[in-house]
Amino acid sequence: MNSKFLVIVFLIIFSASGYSSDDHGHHEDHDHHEEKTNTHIDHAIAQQVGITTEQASSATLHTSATVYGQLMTGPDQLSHVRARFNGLIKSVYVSIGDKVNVGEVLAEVESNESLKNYKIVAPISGQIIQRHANSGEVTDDQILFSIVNLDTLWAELKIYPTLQSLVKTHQPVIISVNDQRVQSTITHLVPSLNDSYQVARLKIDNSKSQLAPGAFVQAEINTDEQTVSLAVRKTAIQTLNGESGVFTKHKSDYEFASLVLGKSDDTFVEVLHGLNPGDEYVVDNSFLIKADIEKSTAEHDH
Amino acid sequence: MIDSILRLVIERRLLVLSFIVVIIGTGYWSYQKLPIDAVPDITNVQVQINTSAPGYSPLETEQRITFPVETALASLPKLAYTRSLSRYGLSQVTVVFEEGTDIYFARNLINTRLSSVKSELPTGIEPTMGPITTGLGEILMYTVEADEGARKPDGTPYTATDLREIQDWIIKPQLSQVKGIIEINSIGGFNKQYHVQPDPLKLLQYGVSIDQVVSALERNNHNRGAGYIERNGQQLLVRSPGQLKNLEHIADVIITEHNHVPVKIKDIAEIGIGKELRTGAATQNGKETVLGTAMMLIGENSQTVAHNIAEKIETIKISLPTGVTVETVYNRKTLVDKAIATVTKNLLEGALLVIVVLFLLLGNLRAALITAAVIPLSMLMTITGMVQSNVSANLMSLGALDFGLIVDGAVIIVENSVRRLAQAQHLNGMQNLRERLQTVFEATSEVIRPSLFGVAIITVVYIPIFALTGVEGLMFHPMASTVVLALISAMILSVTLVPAAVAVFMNGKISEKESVVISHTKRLYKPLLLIAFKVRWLVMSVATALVLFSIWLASTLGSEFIPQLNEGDIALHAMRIPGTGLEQAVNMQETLEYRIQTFPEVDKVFSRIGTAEVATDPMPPNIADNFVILKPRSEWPNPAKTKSQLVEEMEHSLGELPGNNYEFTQPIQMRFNELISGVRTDLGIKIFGDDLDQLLVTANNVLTIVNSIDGAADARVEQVTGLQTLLVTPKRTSLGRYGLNVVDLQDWVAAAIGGKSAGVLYEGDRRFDLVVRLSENLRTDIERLKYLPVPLGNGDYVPLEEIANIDIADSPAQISRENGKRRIVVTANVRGRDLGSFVNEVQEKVRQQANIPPGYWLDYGGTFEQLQSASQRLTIVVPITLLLILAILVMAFHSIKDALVIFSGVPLALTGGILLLYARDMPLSISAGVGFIALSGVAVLNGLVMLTFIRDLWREKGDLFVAVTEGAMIRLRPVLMTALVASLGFVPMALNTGIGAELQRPLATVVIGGILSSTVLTLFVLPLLYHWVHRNDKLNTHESVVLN
Repeated sequence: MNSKFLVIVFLIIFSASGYSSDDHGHHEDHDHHEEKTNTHIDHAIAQQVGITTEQASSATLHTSATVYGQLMTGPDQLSHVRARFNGLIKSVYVSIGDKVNVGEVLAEVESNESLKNYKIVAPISGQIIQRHANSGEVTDDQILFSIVNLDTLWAELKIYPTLQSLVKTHQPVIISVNDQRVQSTITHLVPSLNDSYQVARLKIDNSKSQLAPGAFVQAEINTDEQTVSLAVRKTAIQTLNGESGVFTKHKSDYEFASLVLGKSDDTFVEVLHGLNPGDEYVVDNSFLIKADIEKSTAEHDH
Repeated sequence: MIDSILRLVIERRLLVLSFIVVIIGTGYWSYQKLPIDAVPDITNVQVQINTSAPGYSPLETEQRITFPVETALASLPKLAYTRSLSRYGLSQVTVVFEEGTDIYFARNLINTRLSSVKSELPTGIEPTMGPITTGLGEILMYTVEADEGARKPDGTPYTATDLREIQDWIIKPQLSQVKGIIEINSIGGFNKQYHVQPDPLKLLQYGVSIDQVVSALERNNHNRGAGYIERNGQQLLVRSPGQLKNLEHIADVIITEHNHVPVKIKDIAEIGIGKELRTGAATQNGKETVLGTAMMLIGENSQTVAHNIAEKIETIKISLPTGVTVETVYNRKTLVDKAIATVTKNLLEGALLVIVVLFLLLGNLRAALITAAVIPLSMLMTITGMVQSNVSANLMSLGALDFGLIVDGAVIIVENSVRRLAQAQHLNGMQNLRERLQTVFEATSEVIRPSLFGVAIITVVYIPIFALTGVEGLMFHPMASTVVLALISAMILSVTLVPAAVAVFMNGKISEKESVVISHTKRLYKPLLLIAFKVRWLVMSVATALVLFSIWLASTLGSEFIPQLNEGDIALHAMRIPGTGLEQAVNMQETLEYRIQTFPEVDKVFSRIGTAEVATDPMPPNIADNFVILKPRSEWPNPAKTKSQLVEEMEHSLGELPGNNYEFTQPIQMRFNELISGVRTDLGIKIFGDDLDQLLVTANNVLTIVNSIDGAADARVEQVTGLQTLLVTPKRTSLGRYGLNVVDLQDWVAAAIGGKSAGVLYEGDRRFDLVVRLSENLRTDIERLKYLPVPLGNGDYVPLEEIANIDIADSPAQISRENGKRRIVVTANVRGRDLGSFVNEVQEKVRQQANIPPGYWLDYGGTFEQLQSASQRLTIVVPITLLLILAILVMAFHSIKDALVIFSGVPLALTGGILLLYARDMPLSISAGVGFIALSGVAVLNGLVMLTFIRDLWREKGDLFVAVTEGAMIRLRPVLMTALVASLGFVPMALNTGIGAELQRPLATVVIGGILSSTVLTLFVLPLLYHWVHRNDKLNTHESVVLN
């Protein structure tokens, strides 16, 4: 009996201790089966951690797309002036950099055929950027002057196939080039011959001569503007159990509302189903609510 | 043989005494080398192989790095198992070796294998072994802070990046030199990086690709040596410096030419000092900080190392810029000091009590001092033995020492010698030297066998503890070895030094005043013993009833397997949902820390979030280790509040904060858990296989089965998914249309979003990465990402969405593998049911019902395994031990009857232990178990000495009854003495409430209670039993010869 007793004591010590030794390993109860979608957070704490709410209401969605392109001059803005009749240049009145108006005399040429002097005038207003004419020279067929008018420029934006269904003429565009922002609208959409993209052309006012052709630009095309009856802020959207939605607030209780979402822009997303206008939903720090609901699943596997 | 030793010792008594010097000398020398720590080290022999893989997602990490590394390490000699995890940017393979494997041998083996696997890994990926340290390694932590008004030389305030730079380049190099430090691990702040952030638009405009930017930086950042030339007898070294030195240099690097104009970095990119993509952060008292952790080399003395490093920090403070401070936030020395103070106090007070008792009961100061001298001497011998057998001094190893028990053997010898000497003087007057030596020899020889047998038995009962394996083994082996060492030392001393000292010092007149206590007790004892004889049946049935009652009582006591040392501080894991971002976690951490600080008991709180520079604990960003350092108890509003109360209050208060889940633990305990890292529930079903989705399906299938079984609690599947990933999936046909390969797209995505390293910038000794990547607002804006232009070979571009699908999907947060195979674990606890039958039923049901596809297999593990193996071992070892004790007893008495009579002392001794445990409301634990073990030894020892005397008397007088009563009377004093010294020696331990006392309290309680009951037993029940057993026996003379 004595030896048995020792065995018993030992076994009691060792086996019984097994039941309690695991206490540190337990986490609070959790239920995977009926997945939780609500939680309670006291007002003071919600304020402290920066949970803010807003009422769901209608909103105007501005959808946009970002594309890139280059600044060009229009075909009517560059003029290469030649002599009408070959002859000897008698005098030249302008030089590179001079600004000229339409009809202004650029040079006088003595025609080889009539030996009469005639005037070469500027076909467009603009700035002389090239001059290949000096008095005493023969004109031949060469370009004497190049005049360019940069009061307006054209932006040619590449619209790749994924955007082609969204981009239309007359859509407003904001062009950014070298930290400047210029507004315009799409005037033409031109298909390209060999490439997959279309070119959207839009006129840009450059009366202050700040922009130069050839510069690369980034453009924000406002592809759609639409007022929807119910929208929520994008920052409010969280996914819970594989569904997207927002957390609605009733006093200090927060409940997940899974939503059917529609169109969206940078800040808002349209709600098609799942929320009523006027419902109070969490905007900032909505992740905390999700974290609180799912926290029982948080564990540390060593 | 013993007699000849005794004779020799008494003859050469002075020589023997001179050995004291040797003992003291070696003991002191050993003490200098004794590793001191708070708790025993329960880390297994393991090597972590960390591979940092910047930018790699869990799946890629596993496929490209973990798998080759793991495969290379399979089949190492002495390998126990490997496990691995693959996370974002990190692969960690942990190789666990068999217990007792030399760590340096193991690391050598791994090193060889790793160097051969390097060629299979992606370029630039380098596996490294973790620091050579253990769970006790994190001995000191400090934070680097800047004062409110502190300014850098350029007038701007210090940022987290600056502080990290100070930590990495000023503090760390100095601290690494401290002897015993293997690693300084940094977390928090940002590694300083130089960032070149190209503008995609300008890249298009100048027709430059990111690759060109990177290669331009790489090709313009070198110093070159070009040998030397001799001129006029002087040697000139030739060198062409060309390294980039600062932001301006970087800005001026020319990438290419565009229309005959050089394109410089500054034309197309912003250049600045930026932040790394960090994997961890640190906070203190609600603010971000930089945290350094000093890790101690395996086997070092944590007290010394922690002390040295704290001193070094003081000198480092001088070298820091004004306004920047280093604050030690956690120092292991505090705990070790407290723990050692507790042990020392217990041992000293115990020793003092023992001396007082000896003096009171022996009534002879010299005798008391001789006995007491055994205490320090055996302690020194024990220390020598501990150093030799690599046992560290800590609460567990020193906690079970009771000097009362240890001197028991010596007490018996000295007591008998004093009695005999006094008797001889009383009868024959003063003895001459020869006579005295002869008396000492006889007195010693009379009791030496029983006391040696007794000590041998106490030693034997510790054997079951050596049968424990795993964590329990690592925890309790040091304790058992220390006690056994101490007992053996004491045993050696009792046959050598003690008789020698008695022979030398017990000269002149031996005053042996029967002390008042003893004479009163004797007067009381005799009539009581006679009454007991009259009502022997009553006495015996009361004793039996008591035993039965205490068995029942024992089963109602709570129990804990391993006692928890109160470390004085709190550590808590704050766990958030997987996928929580680091910055979000830092914000949540701030709220949490402010809340923790509202507790008046809290001194400071700091935390680690995610993974540190050296991934000794690879946590994802959604987990934070919080360290709550408490004020000294005296500063608490209510110093009587227990720590568990505080933890409970804290748990309640922190539970109000949204989004956090907590697990409370303690700093060292937390570290052990991280390292040992097994399944910590009762049952763990591991499912191995290839496909992650299939594994999850099978696991859920198994989970349903487990849940359907009676007794299952907290069953769950290990969380493996839940990490949201932004997928950039190439559209292959579109790529083809634009003449791109998949890798072109991937390179661009990696460089644009993750960044591409373009070399290193040297600032003196400091070196910083130079990284090219898109600016923060571009790379983080998911909405706009799809519009980003990807350059084509012909200078044209195409928007990203044209050639890739961009969407967000769930993906594995981490992939765990074990022994070279992917695995997922289903864990469960058992409530209200016997574990064994539960496990059997689970195995049966899973075999029948679970749908396990071919190529997938299961493995059952969990604490039930340890429990089973521990029970199995103990059911073999405990009976063997008992048989062994019985054999020793039979050897001593040549009588099974007598052996059994003595053995009956054990259950009655246990009775008192159980009763006192119950009275003090303590659970059964291994500590208490060790107490029971010690107790059995004492009980047997007492019975042994008592019976030996009775038998000798019986032989002398020929009358059983007279022999029994007289023998009992003579042995009253030594029995009382051994009982008193043994129990009083433990009293300080039983009452102490200091740090570490919780480990020793149960043990001391059991021994005190048990000795009280065992003394009563030895004094009353044993004589009765002996008399009853031998009532019909004739005196058998040849039997008693054995003992002489």
